[in-house]
Amino acid sequence: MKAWKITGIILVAYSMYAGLTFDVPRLVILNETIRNLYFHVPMWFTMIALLGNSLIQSIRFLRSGQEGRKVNLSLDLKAKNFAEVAMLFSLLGLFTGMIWAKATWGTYWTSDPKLNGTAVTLLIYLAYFVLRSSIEDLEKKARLSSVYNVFAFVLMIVFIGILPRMTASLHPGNGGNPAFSNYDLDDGMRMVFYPAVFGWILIGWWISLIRHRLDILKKEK
Amino acid sequence: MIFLQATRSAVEMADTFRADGKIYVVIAVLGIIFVGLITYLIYLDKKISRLEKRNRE
Repeated sequence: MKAWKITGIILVAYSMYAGLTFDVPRLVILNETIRNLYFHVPMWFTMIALLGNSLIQSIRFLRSGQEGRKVNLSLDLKAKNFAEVAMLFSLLGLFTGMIWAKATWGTYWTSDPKLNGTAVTLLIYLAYFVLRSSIEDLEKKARLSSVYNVFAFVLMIVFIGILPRMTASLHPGNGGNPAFSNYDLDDGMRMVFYPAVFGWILIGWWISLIRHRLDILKKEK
Repeated sequence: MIFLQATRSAVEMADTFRADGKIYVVIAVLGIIFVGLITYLIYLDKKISRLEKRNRE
């Protein structure tokens, strides 16, 4: 067992314990659901981290064929596997968010720009998987989907990170007010929130690598 | 300031739930689910490592 895997387990376990027992600010409407911050939001951070690595692997693949060197198809495969697990985390984030929204905003789905941006992002990455499965030639598949992955990542940042901040949104940190300012997150909550984010990213990374190693084994067979 | 404190304590929280200690039941349940999933992840990791080793030989 590598140390970083154990770190991930400990951090998430700590965030579950601390997230349910430590004091949180008393706010109207939110009440105890404020604790969802420790569980719902890390799903999104994990998704972005995994997609970030997927992007890096795609760029590494595109560079691997240069200057007469042989292309490294396993880099593209790694990009796919990280994107796949990232989509699992985005679905978890979406469904946990819907439950939270029902309790605090009164409805499972609103036309909040962040929600719609997430839905579009899911479709963008769905297209990435469809594109992959529609090309037979391995090298062509890897090259085209790597280029597409670069576009997909940029669009994801635009739809989730930029557009919701330019219009009114129900999410904190959008529509002009800074996210995680003193109003949204007190110091006690930071002590649980940041370890939770880091721990979940490590666990997401671990799942992605297991998925990837399985693919490599299948390829070698 | 006093007004602020008054409204704060008026906000409903799971105070009694936490006061009688029952929240630990929930933590135990979450803990079992988490341990189960992580154990499975470790099992998968070990199994794949074994396969990788066999493939290299």
